[in-house]
Amino acid sequence: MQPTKLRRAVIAIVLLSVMATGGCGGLRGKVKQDPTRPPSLVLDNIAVQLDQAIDGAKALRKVKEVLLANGKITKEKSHQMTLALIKIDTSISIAAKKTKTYDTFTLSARDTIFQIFQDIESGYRELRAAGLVSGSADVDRALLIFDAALEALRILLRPTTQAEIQQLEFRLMQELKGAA
Amino acid sequence: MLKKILDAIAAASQLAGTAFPIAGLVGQLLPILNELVDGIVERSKGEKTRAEILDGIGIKADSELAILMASAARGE
Repeated sequence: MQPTKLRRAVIAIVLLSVMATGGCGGLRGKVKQDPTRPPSLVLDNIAVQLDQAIDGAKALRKVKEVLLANGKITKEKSHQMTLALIKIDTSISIAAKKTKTYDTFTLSARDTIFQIFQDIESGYRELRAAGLVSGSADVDRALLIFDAALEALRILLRPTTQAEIQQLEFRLMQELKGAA
Repeated sequence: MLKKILDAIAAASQLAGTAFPIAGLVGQLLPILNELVDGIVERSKGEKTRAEILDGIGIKADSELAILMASAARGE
């Protein structure tokens, strides 16, 4: 596995584990179960990671503004980054709205959310291509938040069969029980 | 907070006569409103249902998109 992919995988696993075991507010601390809806830990986690992603995108926007104000990037580059961030935020919003329509994480739900997720990833690639790369503590911090959320979403959207979905729900449930 | 808003209006008023005065005002005020919302959310923090988290994402995205649109209008 390439070093970058390994780093992302480690970040995502740590993040999911921390979320499940109660650290940083944890999944338990972040998602209150709605008694009128069937439980779905996968959908709960997707919601939490989309929330992380929008926070990460906000941090990236702020970093971009500072870079422009300090003359570290040109107005043209900033504009490219702005367009990429518009794509990212729009896609995150659509993903959130769509996720809200599902009570259970089915293959159909997975496929729909995954398609929108690919738009988020595409926007992120455009942002990096425009020049928002690691190089300062603030940029690195913002990229880490967003990177971690993307990697966690990749894991959550990986199942392509009903059996894999059930395995994932079971694994998340075990982690949550282990934290109790 | 009030001083920040007044400063923003003063700064935006300097854009009067430019092509995007409204965009400038929006761009100046929205970060402040965003900060205000964040503060309210922080103070009322507690467990949220999945639906509430997802609704919150929509609100955050709308706020961010307004700021980004203003930036785009300025060519930034």
